[in-house]
Amino acid sequence: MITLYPDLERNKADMGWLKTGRSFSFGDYQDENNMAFEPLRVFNDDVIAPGRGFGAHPHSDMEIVSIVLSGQLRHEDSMGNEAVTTFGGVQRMSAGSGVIHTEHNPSQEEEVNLLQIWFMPSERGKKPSYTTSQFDPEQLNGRLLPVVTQEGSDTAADIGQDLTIYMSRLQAGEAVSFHQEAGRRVFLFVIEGRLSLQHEYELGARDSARIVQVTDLEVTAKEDVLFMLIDLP
Amino acid sequence: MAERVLVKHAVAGRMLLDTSKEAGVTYEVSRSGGETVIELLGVAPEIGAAVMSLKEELNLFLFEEPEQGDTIKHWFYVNSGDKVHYEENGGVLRISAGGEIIYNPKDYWE
Repeated sequence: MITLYPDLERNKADMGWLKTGRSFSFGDYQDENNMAFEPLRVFNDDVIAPGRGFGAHPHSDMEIVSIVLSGQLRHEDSMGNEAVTTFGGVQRMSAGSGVIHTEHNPSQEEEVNLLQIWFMPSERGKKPSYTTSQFDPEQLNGRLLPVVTQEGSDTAADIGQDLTIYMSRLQAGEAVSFHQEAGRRVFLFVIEGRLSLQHEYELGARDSARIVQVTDLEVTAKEDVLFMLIDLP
Repeated sequence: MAERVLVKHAVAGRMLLDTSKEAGVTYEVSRSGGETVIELLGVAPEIGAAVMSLKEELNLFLFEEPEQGDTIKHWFYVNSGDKVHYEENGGVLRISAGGEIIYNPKDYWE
């Protein structure tokens, strides 16, 4: 079953310094019928104004991935980590038994656009940790590139949940396929461009789909497209 | 120095209880070993119900607010929803926490 969630149906908020599109209940947007897609709890598409960001605040028992699409994002936390990432960089924070952190846009000129993605962990109470990883954006072309995996790799961050985040860039007419294991689910999000699923469903920029019980998924670019596919338990 | 206890929803950030805004709510903080127990008395049933409905996703704070100087924040790790209890009789909300981080937001970017 494939259920589409058009961009227009996302919850949008504009706080001046932060413009956000939320795929699931978050902040002042609460819909008890849209709390999560199994372990995927938060999927926020944030644009943060220059010099602004989220001040010091705690997290626990959440796997938090931040993927910068444009601009710069600076992270600082109570474990002593500091990092700035740009497109190609991935930040993964396992909040575990607790961490204090900030996220802000260190640029004084340019907005930062990031995807802020939270997953419930497979195990609560773990020691908190943080890492950054880097993929080569050229490697996105024509394939599904894993950028976050449970085990991690040289180019993918590890995470405390049985999931994989793939990113892909296809030229118009190109296609990729994905085999979905029985009992698992897929969240697909179009970052830019347009694609079709199974030659039946069309998604444009910032549209998403929640997919269950589809064994083989075919994604075809209707125009040049950049998208994310998350394989979930 | 003023002090207050806050209970918030960790994901939404929504304030569920702020003792400085709830007349008649009192609290005691006790620490033993690695555990901290915060017991709040006089908590209204609707607030107790809201906390219990979100007991797996709570942020529990104690703010120390000196007349001069920065607010010091104590954040407590609530290991599990099983550590959160509410008794409507007497409005007793008892939360046990297994960890504590003390921080001054000004030590970070803000």
